[in-house]
Amino acid sequence: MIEEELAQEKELVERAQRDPKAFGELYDRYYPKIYRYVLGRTASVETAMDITSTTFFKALTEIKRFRWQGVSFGAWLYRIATNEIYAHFRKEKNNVTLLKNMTALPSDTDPLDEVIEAEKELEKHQEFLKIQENLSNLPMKYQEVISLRFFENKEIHEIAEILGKPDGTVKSLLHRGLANLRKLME
Amino acid sequence: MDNDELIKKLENLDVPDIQIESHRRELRETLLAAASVRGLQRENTFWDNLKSRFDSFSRLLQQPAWKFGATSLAVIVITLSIALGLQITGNVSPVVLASNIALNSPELPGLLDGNGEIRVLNVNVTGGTARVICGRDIGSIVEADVDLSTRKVTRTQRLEGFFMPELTEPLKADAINIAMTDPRVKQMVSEGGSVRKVLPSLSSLAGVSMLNDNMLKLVPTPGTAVVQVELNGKSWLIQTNLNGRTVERIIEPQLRTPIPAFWNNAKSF
Repeated sequence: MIEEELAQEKELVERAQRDPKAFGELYDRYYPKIYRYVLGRTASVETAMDITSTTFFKALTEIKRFRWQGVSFGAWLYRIATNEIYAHFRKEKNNVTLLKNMTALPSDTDPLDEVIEAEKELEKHQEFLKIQENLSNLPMKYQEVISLRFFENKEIHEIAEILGKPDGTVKSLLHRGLANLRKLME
Repeated sequence: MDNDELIKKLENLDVPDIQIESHRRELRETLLAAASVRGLQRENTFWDNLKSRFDSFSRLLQQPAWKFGATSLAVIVITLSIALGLQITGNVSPVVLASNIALNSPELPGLLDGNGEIRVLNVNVTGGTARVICGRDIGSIVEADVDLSTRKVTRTQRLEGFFMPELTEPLKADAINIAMTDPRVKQMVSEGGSVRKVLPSLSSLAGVSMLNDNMLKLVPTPGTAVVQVELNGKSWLIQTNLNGRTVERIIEPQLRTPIPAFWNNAKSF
């Protein structure tokens, strides 16, 4: 982000800490990015909706405590989203899978047409889904750097800012992550 | 495939850029409304006085509304003022005033069956009257019309088929999994019980949505869910805590009142 944009965003964040309408401007700016990022990490339209919601709720809750100290607002949002994704996968991993013993839940509500359409659209990206599936089998630390680098087109220093790690560590994680991904794909 | 080939593949990958416009719009509305009401509440004189008098209450006030596990800031003010026997004075918003009058009306408890505290779910103020919708954690919903000048409830009506927020399929599955960790629920299932429905309990409604200056609405967040298990024609309600991953209580079918028709007719929004 160029300096002028950064200064504008800084001013917007300060306003948002006092005025909800300003938070709306930040939301408009970042919702598409955060939703796309979460969708890329989870490959699920509905899960991405849930996690995006939680991300912005947390951001709204914590915005008064946000201080512009080496981490931009965008990076901060990505960090919240990354943590929420991690929490989601941890929760899924700990689930006791007893559903097979239960009678199937009667479905008396239809999903939104928009969600159905989104799921159909997602299904068209088979190459992406295949890579994402392989990626999801890697440790979280590799998933994060690879998806931020290649799905979100973030530079190394941006990824470092989001994850709170040094540039060197990010490069190293990327290198090892790609090596592991390559093995999975072969 | 070598490293360079993989990088090239990833760089040229067609990453899906899908957006759900309705979700974007609704989430925005909810967030801004919640932020607006929090701002309004903080400027309220009555609110500030209460905060200074009770340390424990003021600690609660530092937490965001939805971390309370489902009460809005307005409901907290109302609940505490009722507990203290305090009168909410004219510098409180019509929404808070109407809620207080409805919750204090003697006819309300008799109309509301089910379990748990009575909570305000929705308040719509038009001129000098307000329509307040209240309900218990699990139970029926009542609509009360309040005359703000006389401070009296002028009409009450139980609602059937009230719209409740829908849990996502993963959350429903989560609630079922949590319910199944309880040995009593396992016993019911082993005897042929089956899950009939999974809905958020009213106590999971959290945060505040201000649609305009006159309307206050509570917005659900994942928190608790009620799993209805049916066995031999009887229904048990298993209240689960999705965050703590515990079964909080099991409501047995020998309630004084039957499961409200609204529960079985509940639609989603």
